[in-house]
This record gives sequence, C-alpha cells and structure tokens, in this order.
Amino acid sequence: MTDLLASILYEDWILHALVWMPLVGTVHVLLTSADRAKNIAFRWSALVFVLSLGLWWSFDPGDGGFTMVSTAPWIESWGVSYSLGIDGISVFMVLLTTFTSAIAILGSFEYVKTRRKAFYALMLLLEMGVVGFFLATDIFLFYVFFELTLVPMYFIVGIWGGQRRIYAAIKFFLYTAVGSLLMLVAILYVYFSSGTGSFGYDAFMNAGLSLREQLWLFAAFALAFGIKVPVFPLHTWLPDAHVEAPTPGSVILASVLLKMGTYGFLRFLLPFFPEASRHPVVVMVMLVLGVVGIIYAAWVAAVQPDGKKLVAYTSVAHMGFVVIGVFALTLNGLQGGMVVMISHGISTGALFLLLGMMYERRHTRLIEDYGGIGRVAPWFATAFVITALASIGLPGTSGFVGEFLALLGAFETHMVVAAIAALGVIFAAYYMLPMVQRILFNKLDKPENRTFADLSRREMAIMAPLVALMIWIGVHPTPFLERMEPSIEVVLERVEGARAAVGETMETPALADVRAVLVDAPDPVMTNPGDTPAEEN
Amino acid sequence: MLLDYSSSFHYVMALLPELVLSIWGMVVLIAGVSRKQGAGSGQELGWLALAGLALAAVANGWLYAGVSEAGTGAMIAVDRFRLFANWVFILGAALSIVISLAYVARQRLQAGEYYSLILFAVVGMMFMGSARDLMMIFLGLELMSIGIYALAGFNRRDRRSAEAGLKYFLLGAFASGFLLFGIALVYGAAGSTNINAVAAAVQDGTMVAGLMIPGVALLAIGFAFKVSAVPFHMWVPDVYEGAPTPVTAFMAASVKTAAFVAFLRVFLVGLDGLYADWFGILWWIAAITMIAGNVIALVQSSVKRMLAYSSIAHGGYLLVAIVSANDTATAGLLFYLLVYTIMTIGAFAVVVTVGNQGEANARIEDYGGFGWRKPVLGVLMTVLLLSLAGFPGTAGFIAKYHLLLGAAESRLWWLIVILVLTTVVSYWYYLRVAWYMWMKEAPEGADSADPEITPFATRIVLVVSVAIIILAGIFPDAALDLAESSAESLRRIATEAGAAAGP
Amino acid sequence: MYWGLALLTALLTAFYMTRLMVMTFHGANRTGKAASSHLHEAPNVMTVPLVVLAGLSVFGGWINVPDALGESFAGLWGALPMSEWLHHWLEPVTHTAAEIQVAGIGEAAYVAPVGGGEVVWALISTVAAALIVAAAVMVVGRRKYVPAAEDPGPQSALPRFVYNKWYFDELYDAVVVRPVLALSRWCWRVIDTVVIDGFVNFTGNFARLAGWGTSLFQTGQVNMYAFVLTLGVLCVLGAAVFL
Repeated sequence: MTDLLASILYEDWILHALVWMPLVGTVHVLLTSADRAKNIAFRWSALVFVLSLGLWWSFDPGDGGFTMVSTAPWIESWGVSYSLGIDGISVFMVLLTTFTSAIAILGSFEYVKTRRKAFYALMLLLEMGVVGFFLATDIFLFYVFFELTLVPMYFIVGIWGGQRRIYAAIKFFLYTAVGSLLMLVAILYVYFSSGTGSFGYDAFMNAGLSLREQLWLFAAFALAFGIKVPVFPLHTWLPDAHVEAPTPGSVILASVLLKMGTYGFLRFLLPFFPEASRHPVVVMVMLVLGVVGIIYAAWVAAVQPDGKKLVAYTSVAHMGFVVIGVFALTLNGLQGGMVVMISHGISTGALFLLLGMMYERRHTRLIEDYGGIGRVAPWFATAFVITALASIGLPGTSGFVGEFLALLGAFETHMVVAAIAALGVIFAAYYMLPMVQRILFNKLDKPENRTFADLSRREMAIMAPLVALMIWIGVHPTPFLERMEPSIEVVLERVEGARAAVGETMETPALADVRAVLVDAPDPVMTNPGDTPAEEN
Repeated sequence: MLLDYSSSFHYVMALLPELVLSIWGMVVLIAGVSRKQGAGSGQELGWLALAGLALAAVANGWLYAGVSEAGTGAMIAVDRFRLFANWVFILGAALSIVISLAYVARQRLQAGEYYSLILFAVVGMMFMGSARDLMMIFLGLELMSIGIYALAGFNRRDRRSAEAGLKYFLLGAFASGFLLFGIALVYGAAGSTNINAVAAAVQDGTMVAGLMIPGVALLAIGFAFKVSAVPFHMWVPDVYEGAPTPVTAFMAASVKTAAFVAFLRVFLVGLDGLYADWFGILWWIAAITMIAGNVIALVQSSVKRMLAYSSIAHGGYLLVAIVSANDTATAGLLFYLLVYTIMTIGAFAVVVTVGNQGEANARIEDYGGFGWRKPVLGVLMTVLLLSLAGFPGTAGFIAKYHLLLGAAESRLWWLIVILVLTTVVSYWYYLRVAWYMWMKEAPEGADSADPEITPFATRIVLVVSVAIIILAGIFPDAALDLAESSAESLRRIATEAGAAAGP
Repeated sequence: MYWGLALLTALLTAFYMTRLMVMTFHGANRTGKAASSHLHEAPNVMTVPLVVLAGLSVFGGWINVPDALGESFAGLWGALPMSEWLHHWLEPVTHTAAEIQVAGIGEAAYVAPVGGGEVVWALISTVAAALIVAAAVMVVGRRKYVPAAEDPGPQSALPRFVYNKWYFDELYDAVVVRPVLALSRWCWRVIDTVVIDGFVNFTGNFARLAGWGTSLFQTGQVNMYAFVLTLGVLCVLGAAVFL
C-alpha cells in the first residue's frame, strides 16, 4: 500500500486535494438538478474520504513535527502564506472529518427533502472549511478557515432546522464570533511581538512572550476555543444548536466542529503559550472547569425530556474529559484527550444519526413518546445499545480507552480532580441507560410505535462502520496511540520545557500571584487614550 | 511622460482628471437641456456621464504612471495618495450612475441635471482629495456638498426626498461654518492655510498654540460631520432614508471617502506634530461612533436605514485608521475605502432592485424568503452583507484586518477590542437580513411586489462587484500593494516637505 | 486476606447457584396449578444460544489460563497457544495504571499469601466449591416448599432484611437518586436557562435596548439634531482646550 501511494506521489498532492475537492464538489452540486444533488454530494464526500484513507498508511509520525508540508506565499506584504501540513494530531482529525462528512451526507438522504442543492453545497463547503482548519499551519489561514466554517453551519441550522432555528443559528454564530474575534486580536499581538513579520506556525512559537503577555493571550485563545469545545459555562449555545439543527448538521457539529476547539488547545494554545499553560493556577482553573463540565452536563443531561438535547449535553460532558486530559499535561492525559475526541466523534455522531432516524419515523424527539422499540426494530436496538455503551465508556469500546487514559493522566498529576471526574463515568450511565431503557425497552404501549421500521439497508451501511470503529478502537487502540504519540510528545516537551523558565516561584500558586502578574504590574500592553501614544510620527 | 512644471501647461496637466470631469459635466448638462421634454428615458445621458468618468479614469492612470510632485508650496498635491483616492471616487460615481439608470428613468427625474450633478460632485471630491491647502479643501467640500444637497432632494414629488435635501443642507451649512472657523483659527495660528506650511509652523514652534488647539478641534468637528461620526451623525439616517436610493449609495460611499481622504491628509500631514493633542479626541469619537453606529443599527426595521447606521459604524472603523497614524493604517484606510465603496454600492444596488427601481419594499420583512425566489440576487446580497460584516473570504475582512494591523502597530489595543466587539454586534444586523432572505417565509403578496426588472447593467455591476469582493478577499496582494505604495507616497512627500520647510 | 475473601465469595456463588438449580429443576413445582400446564421446552431460539453458552462456560476458561497452569492439564499441557490472553487486551490503555498501582502498594499484591502458588490455590477453590455444592444439595433439597404465590416471605428480621436486598435500593433512592435528580433539574432550569442563558440573552437585549434608547433622539426635528451637534461641539472643544 505504501509503495502504491508513493508511486502516485500521494504525499505531494493529498493535503491540497482534501481541502479543495469539497469545494469542487460544491460547485458540481450547484450545477446539477435537485434530484441528483444528494448522490453527487455523497460521491464527492466518499471520494474525499477514500483519498484521505491513504493517510493511514502514508502518514509517518517521524519525530512528531509537521510532515507533507507545502508552503506558498499568499499575501506577501503581510507575511501570510498558504501552508498546509499534517502531524499525528491532525491526521486523526482529518480522517474523522472526511469520514463523518460522508456519513452525515449519507444520513441526510431521507431527512432533508427541501432545497436539497443548497443543503448539499453547504455541507461540502463546511467540509472544506473544517479540513482546511485542521491542515493549516499558517495562523492567518487557520483563522480564515476557522471563521469560514461558521457560515455554512449558520445556514444549515437556520434553514433546515426546527422551530427555534433562527435563534439557535444566530446564537451559535455570535457566541463563536465573540471568541474568535478576540482571538484575532491576540493573533495580531503575537504577530507584532514575534517581529518576524510572518504568520507561520514557527514564528508564533518563537514570539518570545513574557509570562504576563502569555496569560492574557492564553485567555483570549482559550475563550475562543473554550466556546467551541464548549467548556462550562460557555456551553449554552450547544444544546440549542444541536436540537434545532437537522440530523446531518448535528452530526457534523458534534463530531467535528467541537473538535476544532480541543484541537485548538493542543495545536495552538499549549505550544504558543507554554508558560501560561503550565502555570498552576491556569491548570487548576481549566481542570476544575473540565470537572464541573463533566458532572454538571451529566446531571443536566439526565433530566432532559428531549433525546437530542440529552445527547447534546453529553457532548459537554465528554469534552470535559478532553479538557481534563489535555490540562493534565501528561502523555496519557493528552493521548486520552485525543482518543476521547475521536471516540466522541464516532459515538455521538452515531447517536445523533440514530435519533435522526427515530425522528424521521415518528416526528418527535421526546423520549417519552417511545418505548419498546427494541421489540419491533431489533437491528436498530442493537446499534443503539452498542453506541450508547460506547458513549458511556464501557470497556471494550472506544469510549473507555479515551476516558480511562484521560483520567489516568489526570490522576498522575492531580489525584483529587481525577477522582471527582471519575464520578462522571458513573453519571454517564445515569443519563444514558435510562434513555436506552425508555426508548428501546419498557412497554410497547404506543400504537404508533408498533410500525416503527427497522434499519433500512442504507441505514445499515451508515451504522455498520460506526459500530465497527467503536469496537475496533476499544479493543485495539495501539495503532491510534502510536501514531499520535510523537506529536503529543512534541507538545508536551514544549510545555515542559517552559518549566525551567517559569522557575521555582510558581511552586506555591496563589490567585494573588496571577492577579499581581496580570493587573498590578505597570501595563505596557494597553495604551489608554490619555497616555502618550507609543509611536510618535 | 513626467511632469516637469517648467511650463504652465504641465500645471494644467496635473489637474487633468478634474478638468475632464468639469468639462464633461457641462457637456452632460447641455445635452440634457437640449433634449426634448419627455423624450426617451434619459439613459443615454447616464451612459454619456459614464464615458466621461472612463476618460477621467484614463487621465488619472496616466498621471499615476508619471507622477511627480509639483513642489510643496502648490495648492494641489500630485501624489499617488490623491490618485488612488481619485480612482475610488470615479469607481463610486460610476457604480452609482449604473444603478441610477433605470431608477432615474422610472422615477421620471431630470436626467441631465442628475448626472451632471454627480460629475460635479466628483470634481469636488477630487479637489478634497488633492488639496494641500485648507481653502482648497473647503472649496472642494462645498462643490461636492452643494451637488449632494441638490441630489438628496432631487425627487421633488417625494416629500421625504425634499425633506432630506433641506435637512442635509441646513445641518451641512452649520457644520461647514465650524470647519471654516477652524480654518480661520489655524490660519491665525500658523500664518498660512497651506498644509505643509502649517506642519512646519507646528514643528518649529512658531505657531500660536492658543489659537491652534481650538482650530484643530473645530477642523475635527467639521470633518467628523462629513464622515458622519457620532455625535455629528444625526442627519445621516433621515437623509439616507429620504434621498433617492442611488444617491444614498453615492453619499454613503463616495462622500465619506472624500471626507476621510481630506481628513487624513490634514491631520496626518498638517497637524502631525499635534498628534498628542488630537489623539484623545479622535480616539473617543472613533470609539463612540463604532459603538453607537452598530448598536442603533440593531433596532432598525428599514434596510435602507440599517445600511445608513452601518455606514456610520464603518466611519468609526475608518477613524481608527486616522487615530493609528501610521503607514499601514493609511494604506488600510485607502484599501478599506475602495472595498467599502464597492460593497456599499453593491448592497444599495440590491436595495434599489428589491425596491422596484423606486422606494418600495424597504422594510426588512419585505426580504422574507427573497433569496429562494431570486436566488442569484440573494446570493450576491449575502456575499455583500458578509463582506460588510468583515467576514473572512471577502474583501471586507482583508480591509478590516488591514485597519486592525495598523492599529496594532500603534498598540491601540483597547480600540481594537472595541472594534472587534462592535463587529460582533454588526454580525447580528447583517445576518438578520440574511435570515429574512433565506430562513423566513415571504410576506403577504410578496410575489407581486418582487422586482419586475433587474436591469442588465445592474446585474453586471452586481456580479462584477461581488466577483471583486471575493477575489480581493482571497488574492488581495495586487490591491494591497497599490494601496501601500499610495500611502507611502503621502508619507514620503510629507516628510520631504517637512525637511524642506524645517531648516 | 484478599485471597481469603476471594475464596469466600467464590463459595457463596457456588452455594446460590446450586440452590437455584436444585429449586428450579429438582424441587416441588411452586408455580401453582394453572401456570404449570404452560411449562414446556424452550424454543430453539433460546436453546441454541444456551447450548453455546454452556459449552463456552465449560471450555471458555481456557482463553485465559494463567501462565503457571499452562503446562498442567488446565492448559492442555502447554498446547493452548494463548496464555493469560485476557490479562493483556487492555494493556495499551492500562499499563500506566498498573505501574501506579505497583508503585503504590508494591508487587506484593500479586503474590499468594499461602505458599504453593497458583496451582494449589486453584485446587483449594475447586475442592471447596465441590464441598459447598454437596452441602447445598443436602440443605436445600430437604426443605419443604409451598407454591410461590402463597409464600409469605421471610418472617424474622435478618432474612427479611436480606430478602429486601438490605434495603439498599430504598437507601440509594433517598440518599442519592432523588437529591441528584432534584439538583439536576435545578442545574438545568436555573443555572443553564436562567443564569447563563439569561446573561447571554441579556447582553443581546441590552444592546438592542441601548440602540432603541439612543434612536429616540432621532426625532426627525432639525433643531433637535442641531442641538445634539452643538453639544458634541462643546464636548470636543472643551476636551481640546481644557484637557
């Protein structure tokens, strides 16, 4: 396989193809008739997925840095380049994106009946934005793709969504925009601090920022990504967006868009601001937010009458594990975070697809409208149970591997945090199993449910690879772990390397220290109108 | 051909674009008068005016290629800064005329006067952009304003148009008074109205500070009125709403451009030495303008009025460039003005079309489901709105980013934060139009109110505008280089002038 | 200690499984007259899986035969290729946990307290289990049974306590389930909906309210506009001259 890929110069063109082929597909969809749109969109997304599969063999983690890098000048006067690259972190995100995009498009065949051309064009456009985001190694390019994903999602939620779709769409959009625009300010600051006149990844790594600057900038970046993740208490856009979005929109949102936030943590936040990232107070704040997110979201999920909303809150809980894993700042923790990201993408995407299938059949999302489905739709029930168990994190499924590693990583450095977070695994059963029971088991007491059709062949084709992946990762995670390990080591070394720089003074953290650093010291960062301007002309 | 100014002919050549347009304006006027009353639609006069603008653009390009300075004492600058601005004026006027063609015919306006007034206003703008003397600026300003007062009230049969013209005239005269008073004070303080001489007087301390500071403040007020900065913006919504829509587009784009170009030259070249004095004032005006413009735009129910407030907000962003006072910001201002002209007039072109070449369907509800009924127009409008909002992938983002870059260079972090947060506010009202277009159902009887005609010329303009917006959003290098070299020329010549006048 | 507990629970298991078997298949019929006529052999859909499961429960132990027994009869005298297979399948995930555990309580946890190693312990547990099975058959088989419907349940305190699963369900319900449910509802209805979303929506509404308030000055009267303009002039002039 590797030889075959090398013979077609796979590594030279694949990254560009992955970014731009969905755009070609968008145009193609727009030019066809509405009836053929879905097939064409699916073929394009499937083609992109098949092409991206080559990365599994062709990608060599090497020393953990970017590989397959290709750079071309883009906006030369600003030092912006069109630069793509891939490493052990982004390779999984890209594969997850291409995979779930194809699955989501396949899963929308019955759900989306109106304005199909526009819908599939937007789906492919969204895929382009997300893939570009994961592959960009130029900060400007990354920002452009980051924002670009908002527009298709805004229209997907707003046009094909449910009753409160407009509120949900605009809430999603503005929430994210607040964070990302403040991050833009931070990007500008780093750009000027680095003094290299370049938006390249390395230039940002070596900007030579003081701890105080790092803390401010960390806050701006963390806000942008934290909203995207979402980290408690910035999560309230998520349930609304999920509930109102059409099924494929929810799938993409859960599987991929949320990962943009956690990916941002790993790719940008930790390496750019290593001293801030390992500052004890910062770490503690992030860990506590993660733990609160896990427990809080699990509780809130448990009392939701709406199945989709329930699953939406479980996303918040799962992403809490990622936050804990990342800020444990250990190899296990970061790897666990990565695996939770992958696993959550698969299992939650599958749950949304299953809920979408239920909605297509019965036109209700309320859990209480179901019951005893397992008796009339055994295949559906099988898929549902496996997915739910993977979501809970049963050993042998993908969920267990990630959550266990994340907890383990946290346990190595912050025992109490890990212990409390482990309760979240119990609460996962507390929200998920009652839903499974009320939907699939219990009494088949609603006559409408007697005609609940089992999975069709298309739906089987959707669920089979998802279920297979859940179990594969659960049973044999080594190929995943060994591919991501070198890149994660690089991130860790970057953060650990800052330990010496932060020095002994940080051994006893106190909030007052941070306050002193952030506020009390004289402030060269902010120029107030009354001050003498920094630059005389 | 380089201008050498050894013969007076070359002085005339340095004013070629202005001369071409002045003469052409008269030609259009005469052609309009000599038409038989009620014969034809008057569109041929519009095309005639467009031909004049094309000629002026050629003349401008010729000057751009062979630009050379006429000496620092001249009343007119011959630098790329001016010539770049000229192109923006010409482009704005041309786009406005194209979207006027069907409008003027349908509303039975006096075509000859209408188009010649636009041309004369452009001449005024060009003088503002090129003036290196405060009196020249005032002359240009009045030439422009008088044309615009008349254009705003041009539709005599529409009461609101007449009201708009009168309001604008009264308040404009009021503000012109402040500007003139400011010029007088500056003259008293520095002993000259030449901008370079004022700069020299500030530099070597020969000015009378007690007169200079109020003078500067009054100049700032005069310009702030013309760029419709808060709190001198009260006329904007009423005038923009009442004026014929193509005129509104022209005002929002070109008048603002002219005022900003003159504003920048006076403050960054003439009053550069007093930066510490006017920095605070303009900082606050910029901040308040961004906040108020965006916040009030949130509650507008008429698209035209919403765009009026959005243009106020854009004025606030542009003021940040003046406060930043560096080459990057100056280039950013030029680039922003170019992009802003295209996208604003593009958006108004859609408003004109939806308004059925009149003033109908101005409420935002009238856009309900519009995108699905007219998908091409809908997509174009959506792109224009995203560009106005400054969204990546469009030229609006590059332009806004350029302003941020300039402000960051001067480390105006709080102003930057205000800029980006008010941008978030602006997302809401721009996207609101998009959600009405794509996510709502049509209001009652919408089909009959839908545009019957979308003139061919308007379509071309819209498609080309949007193409430029997207192209410049993705490959902005060429336009950025142009703006940067133009901005540098202002700085370099100003520095040379300062060096010459200094010792 | 740990090993003793393990042995004890294994023996308990042997006891209740034997009791279950004896009462179901060998004791008197307790289902009552009407229901007993419905008793019949299970359909294939149940029997076949049961047979498979039974087979696996006899031979399935082989997939995880301990290393020490690999050479004995239990490991088919070394012919079984996979020794301790189940010990390792999660190792990529859990090896660090094992390391932490070793660091915490030491290797001792893996060593049997009584000498003789694993073979002896396996023999001990097997013999003990066989004894318990025999005892259980004796005890349970001798008792008299009434049909289940007429069974009043245990009368004395301890058996009743045990019969009701030590009242753990009720305890959990009161101490854990209800409070957590109530807290969950509170989190959702109050924190999510009122506090966080309230704040989010408030910022939006506040901006619009501010916009509405400011637009009130937009009266359409020129003198109002000129008044505001003059105020602005005064502010700017004042700031320029006095600051």
